[in-house]
Amino acid sequence: MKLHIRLLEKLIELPEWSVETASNCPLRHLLDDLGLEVKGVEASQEKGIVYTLETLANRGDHLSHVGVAREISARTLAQVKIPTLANQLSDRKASVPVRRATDKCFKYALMDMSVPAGMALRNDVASFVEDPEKLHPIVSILNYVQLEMGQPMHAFDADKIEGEIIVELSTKPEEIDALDGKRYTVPVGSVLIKDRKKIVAVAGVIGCLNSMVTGETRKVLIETAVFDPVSVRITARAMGVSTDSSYAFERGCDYEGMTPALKRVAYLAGGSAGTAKDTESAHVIGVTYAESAPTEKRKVTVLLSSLKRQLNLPRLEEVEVITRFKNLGYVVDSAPASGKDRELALSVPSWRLWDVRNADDVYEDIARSVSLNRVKAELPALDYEAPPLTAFERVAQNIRPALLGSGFVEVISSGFYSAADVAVLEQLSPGIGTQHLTLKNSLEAKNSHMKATNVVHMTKLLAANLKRGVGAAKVYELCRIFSRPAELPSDEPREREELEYDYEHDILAIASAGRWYEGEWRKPEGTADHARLFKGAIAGLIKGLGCRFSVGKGDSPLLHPGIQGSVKCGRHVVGVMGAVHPVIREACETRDEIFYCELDLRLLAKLMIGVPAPAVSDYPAVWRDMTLRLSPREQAGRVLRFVQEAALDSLVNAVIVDDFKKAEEDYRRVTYRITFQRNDRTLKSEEVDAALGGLVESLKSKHGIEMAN
Amino acid sequence: MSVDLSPKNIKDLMTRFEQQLKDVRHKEDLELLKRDWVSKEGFVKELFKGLRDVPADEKPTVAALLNELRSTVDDGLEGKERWLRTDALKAQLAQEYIDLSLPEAASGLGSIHPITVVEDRITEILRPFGFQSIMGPEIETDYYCFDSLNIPKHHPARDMQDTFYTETGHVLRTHTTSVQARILQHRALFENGRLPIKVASFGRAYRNEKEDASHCAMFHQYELVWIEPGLTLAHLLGLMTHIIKELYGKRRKVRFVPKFYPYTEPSVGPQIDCSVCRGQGCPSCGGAGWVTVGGSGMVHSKVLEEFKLDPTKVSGFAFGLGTSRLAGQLYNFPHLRSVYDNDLRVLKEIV
Repeated sequence: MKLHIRLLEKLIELPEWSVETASNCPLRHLLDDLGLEVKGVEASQEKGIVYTLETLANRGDHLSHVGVAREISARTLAQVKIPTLANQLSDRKASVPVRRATDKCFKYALMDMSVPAGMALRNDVASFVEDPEKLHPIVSILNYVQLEMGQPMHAFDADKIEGEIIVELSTKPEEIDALDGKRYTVPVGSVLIKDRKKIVAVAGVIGCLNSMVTGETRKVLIETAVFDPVSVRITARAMGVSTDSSYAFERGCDYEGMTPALKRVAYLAGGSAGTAKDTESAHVIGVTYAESAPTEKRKVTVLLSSLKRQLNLPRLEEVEVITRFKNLGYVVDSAPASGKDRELALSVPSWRLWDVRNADDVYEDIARSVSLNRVKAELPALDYEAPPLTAFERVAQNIRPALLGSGFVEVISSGFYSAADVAVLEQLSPGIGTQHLTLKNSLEAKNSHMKATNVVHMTKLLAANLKRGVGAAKVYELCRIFSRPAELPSDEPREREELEYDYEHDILAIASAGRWYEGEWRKPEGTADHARLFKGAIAGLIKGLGCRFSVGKGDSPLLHPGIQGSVKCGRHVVGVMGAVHPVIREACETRDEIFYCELDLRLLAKLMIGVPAPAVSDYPAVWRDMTLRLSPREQAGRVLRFVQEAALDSLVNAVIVDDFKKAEEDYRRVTYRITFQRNDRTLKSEEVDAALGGLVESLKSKHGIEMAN
Repeated sequence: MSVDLSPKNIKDLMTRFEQQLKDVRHKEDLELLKRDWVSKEGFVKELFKGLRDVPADEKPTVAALLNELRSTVDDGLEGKERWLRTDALKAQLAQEYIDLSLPEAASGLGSIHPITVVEDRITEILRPFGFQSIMGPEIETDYYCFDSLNIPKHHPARDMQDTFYTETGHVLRTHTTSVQARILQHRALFENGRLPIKVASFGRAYRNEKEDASHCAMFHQYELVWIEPGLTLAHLLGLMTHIIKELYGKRRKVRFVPKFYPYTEPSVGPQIDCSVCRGQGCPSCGGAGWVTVGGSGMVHSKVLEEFKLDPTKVSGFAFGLGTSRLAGQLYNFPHLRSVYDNDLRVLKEIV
């Protein structure tokens, strides 16, 4: 809302104002403090200072200068100077009859006015309205009165109205040519203002060109009404239009605001009410009202003691409270209650019937008028029974140190994918597109789907950082991915309110590109070294959860077919890791090798155990190296698991220490170092050799793996 | 072979040894000297062997001189050896040099995202009050996101929350307050309305907006609800002030302005003075000098009634802090967008 300070100061005494920030401008500070936040400031010689206010969505009464003045009055206790009104309108009815045929129009009034040719607009009005030179003076007056008092009104050229005014619901979609020069389709169920032959306005939204007031107009019909806010809102949204009028009606207008607004128009138009034959100024011919029922008289009672308790202001005086309520427009009856307490019976003003319904609402009024910053803040009591950490918190607490120690930086990527992102994934994994949940109404093309994997965002993110000159780009994200649910979320209550939503999955995404180590000093690691370092970081975090880490065969279509594996915790596959598929890299415009890992956090949380202190032996360890022949695509780690699972009671450790391939051979030589040790005695050399022999035999017979020469 | 054990000869030998010792410059020379003087065939041993042929009356004098010679030789050789070692070390150290001003080879310490930092710190601040963290779904129904929170269809308040709708007719949660609705419902239906309710939930929320420097379609919130008999607006303001001061320091200015949220009444917007301009007005705070960091209020009686709580007997407050904005203010990000830029040049510096 545009707040003209020159106009406001006609209505109430103001503190100092300027174009400064709230810290330096008392008026701006006051408005902010009242919930009328100043979002913009303009200053011009012509209009003075104009603030743009962000008003509260439930306060239609704030959309006028009188409404703002009332709020200031409740704070400063200065009195509002109500604008001058015509003494009376007319005893006669308007020349055009009115028929109200829908309850979506609570009240309707039509005022008939004659307007002379060459009617002049008062200067004080002209200085506050937009484009006065382009509009008929009567229209400018209506705009001004809405600005001043908040009541939307509309003017028809009376000579273009045929027969009567009918307020009724549309029964079929209607086309209209509106005052803004555009054609709109009005949906079924909208409130229309019609005459006997045509639609002349869409109630509360916009008028039609066919009844527009022009320079030739000599008689106007001024409409004012109280329309159902929801009805106006549905219609305006369906038409795709928002006007000052619809904005005000959607937030609720003053139930009793029609007559004062018409009297103000009559006064400003310069005609003496009802009887004048003055040809120099406009005059009122008649007024017709059509109402559903008298305005509700709503009362809310509140105890002074509970008001003081809510605000923690025990010294708040009754007289102060009553004065503030009165300045807000309430009629207050005070009566004794139990003890020294007082009960205040508050008659709600007609412009607040939309939002004041119970005691909470009037607490808010007093809190605002005394200032929230005067409320004596009080810290609630501590509990000392800190609840246990959730599974997610525990797993996150364990994961972070491992990743931070390896130099990974936490990032937060978007929850969305674009159709283009999904198309890239679809290229690699036909059908994956259908797993992505689509959004119906996204304003941004890049936000058209919910992401079902994080690989594209991580690839883009790393590519962008490498372009920025970041040498070692290592990132992780604890995020959520989505799938099209087999079972849709519903309003049905769930007994377990935790992580378990089948269509949402918490994951840990880890990615790395560029160098592993910081700085340009070292030669960058090759792909194989980078892969091993990346794997080492993942191994570290899995081990940090107390789980046994290994890598199995991978089958992710989104990763390089030859450089990937499944990440295992014990026997459970918890995710995938590997090099991002070149097709994705190309789509993300990068040639850099990017390593990516996606782990299921929910599963990790379930598998996580405490890390017990290992039992160690004081007797010497004995190791033997064993070199095996493996095919080029055989996973050396898989064979390592065979060794570890061989259940030799003295085998305490087995690791891979070499992987070598001679050019002339069609197999690799992978060397495993097997460590033997007992807790109760020193092993003899022949015992170790026998155990190793058994192991070699077992590998050959069970898995067909032989020793290399 | 007889040896000359006259005092003069012994003294001459002593002088000779000292001279030879003086000429030693290398370890090899010292080894030769040791061989000549202290080996089994060395002078000293030979001289002592000759002592048995010395007349008894002269023996004490000769023995004393020989002992003196042996001490001189031993001490001299030991001292020279030490000197040579020191000298060699000096020479070695003079040769060795590594320029430690050259770049280190380390993977560096990673860092936590500013939003997580803020979430963790608020959780830590709240834990002594007994708050439990609960996650919730991000794909929601109208009921949990709006209807149960007193935001009926077609209310202008829904304008404040431009909503993403999925192809299945669901919504992306526009605020983490939807988790509050789930918790209240759960307590009502499965825990017989057990009080107090002290729950914190945080995470992503979504608004269907055109994105620019200060608008993101995805952002982060930290939601809190506390329901217990006797809670008042004063408690809400007290706890919010506590969180903000703990997060930003005691000197940070805090103020509260009236707001409207359908699920709270009264509703309050906590604001802090802008960290970029210190309240003087800048593009980051829209020239206001103050930044709204969340929304809050006393839980609306309609919301309490929706979940079978009697508003005449219990009260409560709730707030949703804009974690993204809090993080922006904590680290002086110029605008909201930069919190989500994922620029590692920036994030690596935040520890």
